[in-house]
Amino acid sequence: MMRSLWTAATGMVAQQIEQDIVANNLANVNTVGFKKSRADFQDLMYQIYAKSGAETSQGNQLPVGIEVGMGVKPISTQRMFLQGDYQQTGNQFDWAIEKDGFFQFDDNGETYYGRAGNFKINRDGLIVNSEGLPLLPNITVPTGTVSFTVDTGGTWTAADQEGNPLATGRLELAIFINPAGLTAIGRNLFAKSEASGEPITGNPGENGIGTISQNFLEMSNVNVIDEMVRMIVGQRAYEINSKAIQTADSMLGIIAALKRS
Amino acid sequence: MLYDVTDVGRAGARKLLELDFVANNVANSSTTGFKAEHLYYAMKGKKIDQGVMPGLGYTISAIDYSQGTLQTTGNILDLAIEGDGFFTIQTNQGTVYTRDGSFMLNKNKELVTGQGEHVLGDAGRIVIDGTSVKINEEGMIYVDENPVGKIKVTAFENEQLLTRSADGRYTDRAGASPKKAANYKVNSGYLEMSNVNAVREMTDMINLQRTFETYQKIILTLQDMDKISTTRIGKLV
Repeated sequence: MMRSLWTAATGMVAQQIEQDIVANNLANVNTVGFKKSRADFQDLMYQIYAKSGAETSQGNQLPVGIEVGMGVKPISTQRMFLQGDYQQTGNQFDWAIEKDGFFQFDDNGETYYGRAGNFKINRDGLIVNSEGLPLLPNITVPTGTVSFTVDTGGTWTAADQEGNPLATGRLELAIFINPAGLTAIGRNLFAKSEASGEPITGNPGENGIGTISQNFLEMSNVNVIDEMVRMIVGQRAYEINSKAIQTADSMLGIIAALKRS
Repeated sequence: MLYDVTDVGRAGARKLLELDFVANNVANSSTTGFKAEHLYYAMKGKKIDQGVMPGLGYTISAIDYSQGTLQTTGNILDLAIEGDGFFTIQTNQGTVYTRDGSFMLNKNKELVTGQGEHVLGDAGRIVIDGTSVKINEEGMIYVDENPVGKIKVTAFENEQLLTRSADGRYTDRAGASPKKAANYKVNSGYLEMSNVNAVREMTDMINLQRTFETYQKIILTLQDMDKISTTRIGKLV
């Protein structure tokens, strides 16, 4: 019956989605390597109320048409690959990437990408992430290793009690021309997509690939203050949309009251 | 009588239309690059001494093209224009213009919108293939330090003649006269937020509801007067 009722309702739905995303961001405020998301909205179609050049009832010509918008729709959620804060942990298998780059993980032949650098060693001596997915290219920590060091360029050395190197090698990271296009698959991992482009792999510190900091972890890039502000703005926007519904409703009430018995 | 119930009714209908605009503005308070739009009324230019009452004049909608605030996103391909102009997009229906600069790459490494339509540069489509991208304030795109194109920013002599459609698109159907934008800055890693002003929308809402109530009172009064004239004037004493 009234466009504005439905239009404002789409606005309320959009703000609910915004709150869902804020809630997920806030829930992951302590997730290692987490990248926050944002919701993208676009306006819905416009209904032509009067065409430009149309004659009005008084015989005037409308210079510009009148098109009434029908509200808003959510179109996508976007990852924001801003750098997270670094936290010193003192754990030799905690590695943070400074600037661009992703660790590569092997999940039964599929390669996934992630920024979370909290690694473990599985029973075969392979370096794996918290999910047990091995890091690519594989690193096997020899038995008898006491200290494991990684320099900023990604060169790693496993040494025994006397400091004699047992094995050595170099890490590889992947970068994407458009990391925002990566598909989040949960578990702190991303998969490549058409939008992200093919991964470009290389050694840390070379060709625009970031460097490694051992004993550090990259924390979540969720900023609690930003999220709180978004929450407040979203709640108020929700409220104002509900006011538009109330206004439409009371105007309908006024129309109904025109007819007196 | 100079005005009758239908005139007041028509004025009331305009208030309902005005509310539709307010509702669309508030619904889009989080829409990237959205521009608020309001309805204005103009009185018809005839005077009482010409024997005609000023009737209901033009109803004009005007888009408020003022700058929206920029929000940082950290994605290089999120672009925001500060100042005049629109991004130029190639669609199947022809060239459209938008202020929503959340762009991405398709599988051919071309710069596209979220709907997959090509973002035009000064020399056509923009291909970004390399390891690093930088976009400067003029909209020049550098891939691995080599320039590959410049974002085409189009401004208009008369922006009010643009026709808007869904997804934040504007089309030039009525002679808005496109021209090269001069006063602008392209910000990479930012998006322009909606320019909807909550205070204005709220006061508009209060205002139009109260006006609507007044119309109701007028209609009720006119009804009463009609009743009086039919029941009393013709009555035999």
